[in-house]
Amino acid sequence: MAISETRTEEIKKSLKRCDDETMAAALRFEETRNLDELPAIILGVLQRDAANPPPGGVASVADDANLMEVVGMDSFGMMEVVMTAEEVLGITVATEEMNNIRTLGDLKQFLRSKLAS
Amino acid sequence: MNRVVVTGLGFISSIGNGRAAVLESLREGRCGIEVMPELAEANDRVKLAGTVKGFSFPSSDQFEWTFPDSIQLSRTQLRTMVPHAVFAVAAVEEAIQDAGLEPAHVSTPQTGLYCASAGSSSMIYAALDSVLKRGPARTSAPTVVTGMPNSLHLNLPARFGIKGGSVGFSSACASSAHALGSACDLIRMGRQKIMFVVGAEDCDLCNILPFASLRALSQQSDPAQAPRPFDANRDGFIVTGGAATLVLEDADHAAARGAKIYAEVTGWGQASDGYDVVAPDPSGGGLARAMTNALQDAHLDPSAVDYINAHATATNAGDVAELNALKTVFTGVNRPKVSSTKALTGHGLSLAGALEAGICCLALREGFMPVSAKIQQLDPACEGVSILTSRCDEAPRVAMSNSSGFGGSNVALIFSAGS
Repeated sequence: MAISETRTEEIKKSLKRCDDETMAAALRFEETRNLDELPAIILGVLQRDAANPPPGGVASVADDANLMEVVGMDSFGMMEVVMTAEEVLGITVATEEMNNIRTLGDLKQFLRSKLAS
Repeated sequence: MNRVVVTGLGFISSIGNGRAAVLESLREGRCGIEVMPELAEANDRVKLAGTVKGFSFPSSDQFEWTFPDSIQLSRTQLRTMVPHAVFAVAAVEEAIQDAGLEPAHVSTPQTGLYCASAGSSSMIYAALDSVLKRGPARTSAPTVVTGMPNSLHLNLPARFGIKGGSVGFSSACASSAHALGSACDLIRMGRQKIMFVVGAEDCDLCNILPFASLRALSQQSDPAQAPRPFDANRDGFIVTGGAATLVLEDADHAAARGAKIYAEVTGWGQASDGYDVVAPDPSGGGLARAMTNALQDAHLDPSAVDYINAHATATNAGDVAELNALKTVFTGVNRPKVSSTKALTGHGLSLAGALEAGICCLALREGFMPVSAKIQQLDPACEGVSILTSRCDEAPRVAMSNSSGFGGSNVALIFSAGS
């Protein structure tokens, strides 16, 4: 089903300052709900909100990397990531669920299972 | 009691960013007031502002702001910033450099920071608008910081690693003068060796227009005509924003590290009008008591004061009250020369006290007294008060900076030339 103009604008607003690839992946996900789009969206948002993304970008970070230590993610940054995920992916994340996310793998796995359920 | 000296200054102001630019504007009588197009579009009462050049804050999204590359803010730091905190970071960085402070001097329990601002009205507005209309789940978490009136105080200690005492002051237009006096006391009592004193304000519609509602602002559209403190035809003040930082330091501590001394803070005093919420006591009683308290604190006779940087904002009531206060305190043969540099800078509100204290320090170190600009016809009420209608190149030995705020709070700060 085609995405409404309003919804497209909402997604673009939520992903402000993310790169084009992230935006495109999010719009495709909105249309197809294909979970394979998730990694690109997650990495794009992390790249935007991390305080100290590594020189190679967040894409170079291993799944078991601690987000706080490796990309400088702090509590405000994580809240931004979660709020964006809620807006773009249409989910609701409980505070406890957010607090359990420590690594990039945790984040990917959490969002995948949240969307699959 | 320990002696306190000023060892560093930093400015982001309408008359220049940095000490050198501010000094040149003061010497040349160059004004930082201009028509602010968005202000002129938004209302029919006020058009002028003391704009800060080189910065742009088009929205509440910090990542859309532009400011000089020399201001270093990480993404994390920027996220919680308000416009005047960006000004303040620049002014503190300049003051640190000017004072020759090493990181070990800045981030130590011996060093504190007192600051003053009225908060960022535009950021508070944006934060509340979002949380009320979009809801908390769709409101960015850092707005809890940007939406607080003390957001300047929330940001600065973290940015500079301040380990000593830190407080945000709020006493309207006397705020940063209160911060400076209180910081001076901490060093005198031996509780801190160094204190940063920071005053800062935004300069946008949200912090200017409320004063237009009060009919306190000049309606002129020609910057040469306003504001005109002490002029018979003055018609109100002009708002400015920016930041000023003074490094206050224990005199022995400064001497031990061979620091450059701008001036000694020899005394300060405060008193309240207890008269009205916004109007000053017409007799200037509160300000007169503040000046007398400052002179007593400094163990100085009124005749010792060479220069007064007046609070005078160019409102009818405020200027007259201050003139009456000056006539009450300075009755001898030797009377101080008086100017209001707000004619050049505009009125910095919470920033004013620190900005004008910094100007007094420049005047003492550089040996001149700045003009009270734009006076075409001196108000007859100035009789008996020596208003500087042109720059005076005599070197003052003692300078006083006055600040008065809504609520009737008054502060006088006294600086003496470094020996």
